[in-house]
Amino acid sequence: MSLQAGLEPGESLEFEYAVQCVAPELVDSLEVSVMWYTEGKGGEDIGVHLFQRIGREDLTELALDQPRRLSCDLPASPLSFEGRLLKIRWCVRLRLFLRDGRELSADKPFYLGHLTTDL
Amino acid sequence: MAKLFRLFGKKRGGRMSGWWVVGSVSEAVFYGLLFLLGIVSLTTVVTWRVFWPASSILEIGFGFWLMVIASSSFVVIGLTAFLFQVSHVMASPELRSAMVDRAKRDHLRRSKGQTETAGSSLPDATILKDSPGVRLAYRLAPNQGDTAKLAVSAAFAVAWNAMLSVLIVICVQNHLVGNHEVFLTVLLVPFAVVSYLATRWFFRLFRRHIGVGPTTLEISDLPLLPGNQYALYLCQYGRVTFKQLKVSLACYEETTYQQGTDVRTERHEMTRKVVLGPEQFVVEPEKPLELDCQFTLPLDMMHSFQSSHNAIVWKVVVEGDAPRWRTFCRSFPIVVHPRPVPARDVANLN
Repeated sequence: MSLQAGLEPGESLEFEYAVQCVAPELVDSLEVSVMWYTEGKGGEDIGVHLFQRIGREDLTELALDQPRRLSCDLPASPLSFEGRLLKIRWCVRLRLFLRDGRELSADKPFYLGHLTTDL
Repeated sequence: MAKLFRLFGKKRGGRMSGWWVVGSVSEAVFYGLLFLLGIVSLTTVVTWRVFWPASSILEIGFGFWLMVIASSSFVVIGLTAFLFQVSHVMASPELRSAMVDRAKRDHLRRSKGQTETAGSSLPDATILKDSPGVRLAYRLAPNQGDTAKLAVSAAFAVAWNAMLSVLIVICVQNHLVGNHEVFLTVLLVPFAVVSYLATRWFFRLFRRHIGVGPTTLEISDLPLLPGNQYALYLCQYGRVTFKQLKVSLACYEETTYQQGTDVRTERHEMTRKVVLGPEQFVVEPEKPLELDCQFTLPLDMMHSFQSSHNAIVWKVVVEGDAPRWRTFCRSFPIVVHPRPVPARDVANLN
């Protein structure tokens, strides 16, 4: 995946992804999501802003190794945040479900907003 | 990944022994069997009563209804947990979150006609706006910490003293009839000590609650936005001279996590900005202390955040230090929203 690293709320997030080194006939479905998640001492929470699922029927018409482009407008919250107990991070996540039951996932993080740890 | 289970000692942390799917499937099988057990037992109990009403087995009474309730609970718990486990295995966390968000949006659109997508990670400010102020727009509700402590101490003191009274009456009666219960008599001593300490604790809290008096705080607008200016109105009742009184804006990180079988919540103060004081004030019963102040929020600040296990909480904190009373601290939760973005369509979920 490739996208720009730092973004502001309201900006348009554009990215493209391609699946390589995995034979297309092994892939059962594919999910792409733009999401935030929390990290730190507490339990992990997630929030999905953009979600797209491509099922088996649609996969046969697509060439997975060719780049596919998606875009969305980023929301005002939550901003990326680095605290002592809690961190809020944004990423684009690609999840592959294989026909043998395995899952493969890849994350591309990005920073939403320009807060620093020194508030 | 550890493959062997420790026989003794508490499991700590989030590590797992084995593939998570095995655990989820096993849990689903367990709840499925629980559901079937509930169905079978409920059907047996009900049909026995319907087709053999004259039978003495499973007669209608306490036992019958207990069986019905227990079987029904097995059915409900087993089915709910089974479906939950199946969805856990079949759907990724992102898909489940997307489906929940879509259901919330649809519900909001149907019930309130809202077309804008609400930020699901922002705390709801409508509850804070329920109480209009006298001088400013809204009156803030204090955290229930102080009053809860007073209520708990009152309940404990009353319950303990009631129990002690009963034991004293029984002990005296026994002595009068010549049945000298030495153990009970000796037990009354530590019980009386606890009663004295509990009563003293309650009266100390009560005296401080009356002496310091309630604190009223009003604010000019909610929710707060970075870069904007706001007014605060503070009204402090009671009969006390404060060596210093100050009002601050504080931000806390809060996280909830599981430690073995315990659930713990930890809090860390990230930042604090004093908006008024510290200054010396005198509060009289006939003349409560009234203070007005203004503050401006910085442009670059983190907004309020709320999720299942984590939160960023903003509060207005009123702290006072009085010679006769211990330092008191009252906090009033507020909500800070992020700066609004231009009105464009945000991405829709598929």
